[in-house]
Amino acid sequence: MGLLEAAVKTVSGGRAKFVKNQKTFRTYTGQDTACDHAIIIEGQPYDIGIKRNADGTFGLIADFTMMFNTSPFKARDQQLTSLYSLYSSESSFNTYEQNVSRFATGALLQEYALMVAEEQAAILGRMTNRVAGKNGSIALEIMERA
Amino acid sequence: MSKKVVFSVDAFGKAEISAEGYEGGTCIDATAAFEAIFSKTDRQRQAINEDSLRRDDGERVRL
Repeated sequence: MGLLEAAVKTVSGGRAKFVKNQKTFRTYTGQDTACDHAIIIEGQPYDIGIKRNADGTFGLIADFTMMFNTSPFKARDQQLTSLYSLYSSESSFNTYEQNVSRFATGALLQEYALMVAEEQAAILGRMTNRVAGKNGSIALEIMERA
Repeated sequence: MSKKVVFSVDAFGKAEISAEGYEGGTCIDATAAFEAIFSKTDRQRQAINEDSLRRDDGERVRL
């Protein structure tokens, strides 16, 4: 299992799955939208697309407003309302729903980044420890083995 | 002397990394960041820094 696949499974509680080389994903319009890979949300009408950026990295794309109602990435949504009040003034999105959905996909990016870091630390023979921080942040302490 | 690294990711998925003797900053590639921190020479570290670490909007993910 790849790390992104594992992160999707963890954050969604198993309600979504990463599909490599899935070239379209479902959006509000009912039309398939182009992507390079997709995160399929089973039992829901909308998905998340993963599209390659010009610099070789990948970005998440979705109909964020509709995802507010359908996203399985709400496992941590007990934090979302308070986070919204903290961050809404900084956000480029206009609605509460869009902000909440952004936090939800943020949880996926957060988990993925932590998993990547933990894997690399293990390869380097380092110990890791997750520590909850302010405003939903998570710090990964990486130390040499005693 | 052991080196402690802190890799912090906010609620949007934006990551920052810090370590003793390391400039730190926002990163999009944890693997490259760790290679930079734990690499044995300043030259290696600088090369990886310039190539792989940079300011980013936090919306990207490397597969």
